[in-house]
Amino acid sequence: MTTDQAADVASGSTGANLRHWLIGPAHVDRLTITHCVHAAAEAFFTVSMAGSIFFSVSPDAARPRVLLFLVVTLAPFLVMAPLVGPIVDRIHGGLASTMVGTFGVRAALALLLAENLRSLFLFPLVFGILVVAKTYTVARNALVPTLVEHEHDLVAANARLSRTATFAGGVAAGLAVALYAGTSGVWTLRLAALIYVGGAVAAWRVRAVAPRLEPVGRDAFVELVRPDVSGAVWDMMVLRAALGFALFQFGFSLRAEGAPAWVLGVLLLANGTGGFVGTVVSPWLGKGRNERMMFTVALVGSALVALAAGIVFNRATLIVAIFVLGMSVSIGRRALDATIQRQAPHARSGQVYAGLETRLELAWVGAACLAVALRVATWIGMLALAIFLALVAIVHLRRRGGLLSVRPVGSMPLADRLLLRAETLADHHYYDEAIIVALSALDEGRCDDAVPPLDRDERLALADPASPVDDERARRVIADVRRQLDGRGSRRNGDTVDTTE
Amino acid sequence: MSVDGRAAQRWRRLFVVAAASLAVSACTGGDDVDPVGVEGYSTVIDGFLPATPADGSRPVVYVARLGEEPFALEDQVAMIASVEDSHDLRFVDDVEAAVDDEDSDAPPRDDGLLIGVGTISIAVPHVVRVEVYNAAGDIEAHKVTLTVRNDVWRVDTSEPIDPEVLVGDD
Repeated sequence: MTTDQAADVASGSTGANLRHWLIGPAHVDRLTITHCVHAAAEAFFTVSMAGSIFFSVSPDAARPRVLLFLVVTLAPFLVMAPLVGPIVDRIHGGLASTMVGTFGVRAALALLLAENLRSLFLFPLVFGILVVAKTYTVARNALVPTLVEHEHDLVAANARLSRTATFAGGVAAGLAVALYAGTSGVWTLRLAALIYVGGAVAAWRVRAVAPRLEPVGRDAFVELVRPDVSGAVWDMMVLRAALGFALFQFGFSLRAEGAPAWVLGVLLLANGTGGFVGTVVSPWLGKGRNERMMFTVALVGSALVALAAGIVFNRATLIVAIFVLGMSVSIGRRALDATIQRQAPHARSGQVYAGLETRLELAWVGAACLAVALRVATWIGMLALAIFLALVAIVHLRRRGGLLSVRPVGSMPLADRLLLRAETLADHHYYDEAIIVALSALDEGRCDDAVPPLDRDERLALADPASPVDDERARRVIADVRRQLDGRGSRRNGDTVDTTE
Repeated sequence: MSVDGRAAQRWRRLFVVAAASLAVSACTGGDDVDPVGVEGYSTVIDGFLPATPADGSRPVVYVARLGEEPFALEDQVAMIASVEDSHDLRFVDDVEAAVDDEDSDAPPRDDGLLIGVGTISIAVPHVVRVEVYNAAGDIEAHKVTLTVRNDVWRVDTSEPIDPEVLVGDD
């Protein structure tokens, strides 16, 4: 934020406050505008699909083709993401350049699609746009942490992006429907292509402010396996999978049941509105840094509503269920951002975040494939979704109970925390580091007991440098250190008893 | 490379192989071409299409297969393209998807027409059952005989018969 902008916000100028609420401070504002253009272009693209051949062919005939392109377009995404990630990190403004590229490719594909809305080329072109849009999502989400000034701005920045893009997407959807009704899907797509070009220009402006990314340290990967972080990633994958399943399951089953295209439009609107409401209620739910509670509300809430909608099934309950699911995904996203912001600050780097985002997108795709392969009625699909969410909610609650019963990591003695870190390092095959950290834990434990730290010979004897640095040796050192530290605890207890006597 | 990295690479390879297998099966599974070809069925459907209104709007026509495998995706797209300028052809898997069951007469949706088409026999004479559904009590059926000369299909005769498939429960 520039000094003038900061002064305006601080002085409470309504215009400046609204601008800050909508598009955020300097640097982030460019990304917000880019994301709004993306949302607008996607709205035009989605509305244009109502005029496509997909709504004229029978769903069962289209299923194999949709499944084919879901897998064929997303498989390279899975393979390429880990290879491209480090390269993107090294290029100055690599993530922003990726975004520019995704807009350019989508503009070209949208123009091609406009000429092929009523032909079989629809399928590869639509899924081409889909996979490029997923790439955009990964790049954009990975870029946000690098643009925020402070670590604690990450959640607010992501919430703002989502909120403002929902506004932009909603307005654009209204305009797109009017254009579609007045002209055709072809012109709606051509305008979408033009907006994608605008998005490329906006993304180019982000490139100018995007910082060079720092090399990723091992800390980032170690942080991601902390129970809270890995649990949050897992919960978010589940929510993304539920959304992917719902989109394709209801898209096909409603078509098979003869539902008009506007019903699908209302479902997309309900999902978007739910997402927006999610950004509004998330700060309230997350008060007191309770991200686990946010995930609990998202998972249990969506499971209960899906169950109710499956039992009392009609269009109204279906729309409510999709609204709640959209809201849950949004709440989950805020909770994940908050968890990473607090507990895995090093994982905020582009490469690590991109890897994480790729996992979330693949969960979406996997569930979408399952939904296309299944051929069940809408109400059965809703019940299947409810059962899936209910099972995951139970697992989440059990895990949460387990986590709550564990003493918070921050309140543990330093020696115990170091030993925990050594075990984590060994789990990830960093055996040399694990041994050094374990020995440091022993030093720390001895300091605690006012016993001199290990001298060189003692250290060598314990570390056993003659044997190879492998899992067995690391585990042996960790076990020895743990025994010594436990002995320290017993002695303390003994001392206490003695004193009492 | 770490053990984790190798495991991830293995999974990725496995996924790509599975994806390729699925791609091949999807490509081959959905493209069973009817031996008669799309031209024969287009000719049959053409004969039952409603007249185009004077206002230039395209009447909606639902097409269902009568008790047979659905038309291949390529055939559906070709048939849609052949009448694209005059009619809005929509294929359905189940007859119920084309019928507005909230109306007591259960007419086809969007003021349209529902045409059920059987399988054209490969042997001469080429015969096919066609049922045309306007409402629950307004269904007609025809036994259509076709001839083919120099790959051009023509309707030879169309003989009224009793509807059987689109009649429903009532």
